[in-house]
Formats: sequence, C-alpha cells, structure tokens
Amino acid sequence: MDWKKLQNIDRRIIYILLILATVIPMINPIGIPVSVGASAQKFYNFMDAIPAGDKVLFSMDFAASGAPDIVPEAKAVMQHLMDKGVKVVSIAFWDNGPMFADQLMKTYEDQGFEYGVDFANLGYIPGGETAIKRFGEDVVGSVSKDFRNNSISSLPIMEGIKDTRDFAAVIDFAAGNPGTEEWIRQVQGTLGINFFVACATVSVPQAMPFVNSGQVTALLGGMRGAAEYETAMGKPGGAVAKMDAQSLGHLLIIAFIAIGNIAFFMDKKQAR
Amino acid sequence: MNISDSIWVWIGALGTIAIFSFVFKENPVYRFCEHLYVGSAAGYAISVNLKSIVDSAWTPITQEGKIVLIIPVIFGLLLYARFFKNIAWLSRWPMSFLVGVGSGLAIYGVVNSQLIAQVRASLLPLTSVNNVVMVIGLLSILLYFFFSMEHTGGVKHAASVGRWIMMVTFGVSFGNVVMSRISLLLGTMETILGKWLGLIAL
Amino acid sequence: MRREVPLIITFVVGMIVLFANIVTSADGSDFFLKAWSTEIENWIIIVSAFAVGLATVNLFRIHGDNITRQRPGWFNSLALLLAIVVFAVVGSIARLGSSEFFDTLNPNLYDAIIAPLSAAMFAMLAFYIASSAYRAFRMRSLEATVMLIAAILIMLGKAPVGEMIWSKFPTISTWLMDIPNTVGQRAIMIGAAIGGFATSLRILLGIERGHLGGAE
Repeated sequence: MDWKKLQNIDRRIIYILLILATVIPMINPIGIPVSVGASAQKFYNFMDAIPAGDKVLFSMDFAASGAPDIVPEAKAVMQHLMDKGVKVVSIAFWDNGPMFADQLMKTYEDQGFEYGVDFANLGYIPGGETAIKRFGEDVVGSVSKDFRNNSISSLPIMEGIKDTRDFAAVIDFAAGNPGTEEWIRQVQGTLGINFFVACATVSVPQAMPFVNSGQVTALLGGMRGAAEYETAMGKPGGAVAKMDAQSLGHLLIIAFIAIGNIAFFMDKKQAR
Repeated sequence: MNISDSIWVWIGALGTIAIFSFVFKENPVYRFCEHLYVGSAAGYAISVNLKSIVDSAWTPITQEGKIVLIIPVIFGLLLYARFFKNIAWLSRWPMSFLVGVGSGLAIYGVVNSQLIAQVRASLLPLTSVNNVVMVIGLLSILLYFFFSMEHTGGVKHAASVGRWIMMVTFGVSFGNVVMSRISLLLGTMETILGKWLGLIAL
Repeated sequence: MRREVPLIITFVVGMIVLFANIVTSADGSDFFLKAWSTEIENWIIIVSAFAVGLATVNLFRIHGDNITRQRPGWFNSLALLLAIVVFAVVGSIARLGSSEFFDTLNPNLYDAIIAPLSAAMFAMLAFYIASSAYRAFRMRSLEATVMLIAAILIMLGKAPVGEMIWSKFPTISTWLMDIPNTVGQRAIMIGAAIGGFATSLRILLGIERGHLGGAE
C-alpha cells in the first residue's frame, strides 16, 4: 500500500466529505439522543426557579462570526424565560450584539409580547472593560437611550433597576474580549452578582477555572450547551437538530486523524 | 424544496457560497465579497458608534448643559491627529488617557478576581484524588514556568508533571476548537439549507 | 513636554480609578475619588466611540490610493469604500432618525451581507481544521500522543454519538474539562494575572512607554 499517498489525500476530498457529513444528517436527521450535562442542568434549574416578573440581563458580547455557536443558546434561554414570564433586558459591549438581541425580541413581539414591558434592548456601549464596569455599577446612569431610541426612563421594565444587582441573573453570551473575564473582574468580583456564561465552545476551557471557583454559577458551552438546555426544557429545537451533523463531523475528523497517523507509522515501519 | 423569494436571503446565500469557494480555489468573486464584508463591517461600526457619541456626548452637552463632556470629545478628535505629521504628537494624550484608565482598572480587577479568587479556589483539602490532582497539578505547572532556578533533580520531575497536565489542557482546547468550528459550519449550512433552499425546518 | 504630559495623564487617571476602587471612606461610603472615577469612565465611553473611526480612516487611505492609482483589483477597493459609506449612512439614519424605510433597510442589509459573510469567513475554519488535523496532528512523541488522546476524548464526549458508542465518554470528557483542563487554565491565568499586574503598574508609573509610540 502506498502509505505516503494515504498521508497526502487531496484536501478537496476532505472538504467535500465534511460538507456531506454535515449536510446529509441536517436534511435526514438520525435522532441521536442528547443527554443533559451537570452544568447545563444547573443553569436550567436556576433560571427555572426565577419568579415571574423578575428581570434577567443578557449581555450580548459576540459578533456575527460567533453567532452560529451562541445564538442557539440565547434563543433557548430566552424561550425558557419568556415562557415563565421572566423579563429580559439586553446590553452589548460588542457593536454587533444589539442586532442579535433585536432579532430575538422581534420574534417574541410577533407572538404578542410587548417591547419595553417584557423585554428591552439597551443597545451597545463602547469602551470594553471600562464600559462594563460603568454599566455594572450604574445601569441607568450609563445608558440614556435604548437601541430603538426610547428614553430609558420611559420603559416600564427599567423600573426599580439601579445596578446589575437588581437583576435575578446576569448572563454573558460571550465570544471573546470584552466578555466573561471583564465581567468577572469589574462586576462579579465587586458586586457579587449571580453571573452565568453562555459562550462559544472555543471559550469553554478558559472559562472553566471561573466555574470551578464559583465566580461563574453555571456555564453553557456552544451549540452542545444550547442542545442540552433545549433537552432540559423538554423542547428540542434547532440546536438538538444540528447535533447529528455535529456528531458525524467529529467522527469524520477523528477518522482522518487516525488515517493520517496509521499511514505515518506504517510508512516509517516500511522505510526501516 | 421551498426556495426563498426574498432578495436579501438570496444575496446572503450567494455571498456565503462565494466565500466558501475560496477553500477550493481563490477567485475574483471571493475577493469581491471579502472586500464587501470588510467595508460593510466598518460602515456598520461607524453608525453604531456615532449613535453612542450622540447619546453620551452630543445630547448631554447640547440639551443638558454638561459642558465638561467637551473634554472627552476633544480627546476623541485628537486621536485623528496621528494622520497629520505636524500634530501627530497630540494623539498621545487620548491614548495615554485610554491606557491609564485601562491599567488602573486592570490592577484591581486582575488581582482580585484572577489572582486571589483563583488561588483561594485552589486551596483544597487533599482528601480526594481530584483535589490532589488540582493542587499538585497547579503547583507543578507554576513550577514549570519558574525560570529563576535551574530545573534539575526533583524540580525537573515536578515540572515535567506540569508539562503533562498542560498537554492534556491543550488537547482539551483543540477538541473544543474543532467542535466550535464545526458548529460555525453548521450554522452557515442552516442558512443555506433552511433559509434559502427550504430543505430543513428552521 | 510631548512625552511628559501623556505620562502624567496616564498616572493621574490611572491612580484615580485604582484608588476609587480600593479605598472607601471611614464610614463605609464611597471615597470622594469615586465620583471622579465615574466621570472618567463616562469619558472613556466617548473617547472609545471616536477610536473606531481610526480603522476606517486607514481603510480610506489605503483603498483610496488603490483606486486613484488604478492598481489591479481597484474595483474591489471601490466596492469596499462604497460599502463603508452605504452602511454608515443607512445605519446612522436608521439609528438617529425616524424613517421607516431606513429602519427596515438597515437590518435587511445587516442580515444579507454582514451576518452571512462574517459567519462564512469563520465557518471556513472548519475545513482548514479538518485538513490540518489530518496532515499535521501526528503522534511523533509521547506528549503529542497525550494531547491527541485528550482531544479525541473531548470530541467523542461532547458529540452525542460518543455516548452512543460508549456511555462513559461524556463522563471522561467532563472530568478532563473539570480537572486537568481547569488546573492548566488556572495556572496560565495566575501567571497572566501576575504579568498583567506588573505591566499595568509599569504603565502607570511611566516605566512602560510603548503606548506613546515612536521617537519625539
């Protein structure tokens, strides 16, 4: 066998196989069950225990590049909170963030929920870590108008909100900096808020020390986290539907790593 | 198949395919879409930050009489002095302002949340295997990066334990990176298959 | 004076912000510096908003030059600059004015161009990671083998198919995330925190002057 050739398969074949491995199960789902991990269950349990009428803050700190990983998490948590009558306020420290929050809220406006009463989008504040600190300590003082140009004081949902301690939970939907670390450094560490993270899968390893130390109460990791949350809710949705494709994608990459290594060792053995 | 009739969906889908064409071969269509993306992202950022300037500076100055906010506006404008040779040195003032505040905030935040809190979380009783791994592992990794003494004898062995744990850490990171990239691909595929071609339910 | 004034600015604002955080008055209320620190933080938000335009000015300089000199691919540069203008104008009118046309056009443009193109740019990485993992991830040493096994266990543990193959894969991957990974990331974080503290202190004291740029 030509082991050298097996180590140099044309990359276009790999690309086409990867496309097929992801497209086919999306069109014809296999239905592999998704179990709920401890962290996702803890996240769900906390949100489930929030009484109706309380408010939760979404910090939409991601761009379109991280959206496929993070938006499913935001959709799942938003659905849970809207079903329970918990109100949602969103802020963003990435300039793309408010657009995603707005898209999310428009879906619920079409279902009869009311902007300004059930949810509000406070827009974007530039300044990174400094802006997070400012907002964390004084919500109303750092934002004068929301994303739709309404005065903050005119929104019924903002009644009784002074700083982030007035929210039942703060959830950071994060894809990088500014994000989780900045929130922990400037707000969680000083004000002691209930802080949750729903981040891109790639950010999960760096967030684990904060989960372990208790600075982050619970964490959702990427699309898998969203799928686990949907399963915990008993309402499998888009994230669960994509898990079959995720599985086949992983198996394909593992297979190619195995092929490459087997060919490498057999080639070395042959050379000896 | 229920192909979308929205021009916006078609533009997005065709742009996505144009970007993907790069993995097979670089081509002029990809190049055009790449430039379009960079320009649109920059223009979007301008519009968002302009609103921020209006809400946080223009309105307070003109309608609430907060004249002192003229100072940060001047600082902001001074950032652009770097493009003029004679007054480029003035752009150091706003940069120093930004860096000074960032450093001041970082000192407190980093020490409180990333140093003290993390060390406190590492002070575990050695009553379980996991706790032993956590404490010994942390000490050995910190020792691995301590270059003020030569790594010989016992120190070398202790540091090598740290290196092995770091290999596991990097492997875990790689596994998560693979998962993340495939998730991004799936999201894009969902746009093409669902939003555009209507082959999957959204 | 051209270097001294910036250093003084850095020191003064940095110290105000730092001491406002760590010192409280004798009666437990906010230190007087807190009000100054809050005002400085408001100023940062304004200055940061202006900073975004710097990249755009550079884009205009570089691509404007391409267009005026008619370099190969200059029409791409023209498309880039037109996109900047269109998105800036449409977005600004939508955000600052009240026009239904622009209120509809802005999110449509975002959903048609920025969102899909940005997502596609990063989705391409899936292809590259598959190809590079196949070509470069070799078990050349024991350490590389440990790294590879950890990566594969995570991939199998996180994908639902892994649990189907062996029910213990999720448990193993959770343990890897919770224990060795946490230890490694924590050690890196502690090291970075010490380094960050030292660098920030050096900046405040004027020992580190990289942010001031070149000579003069």
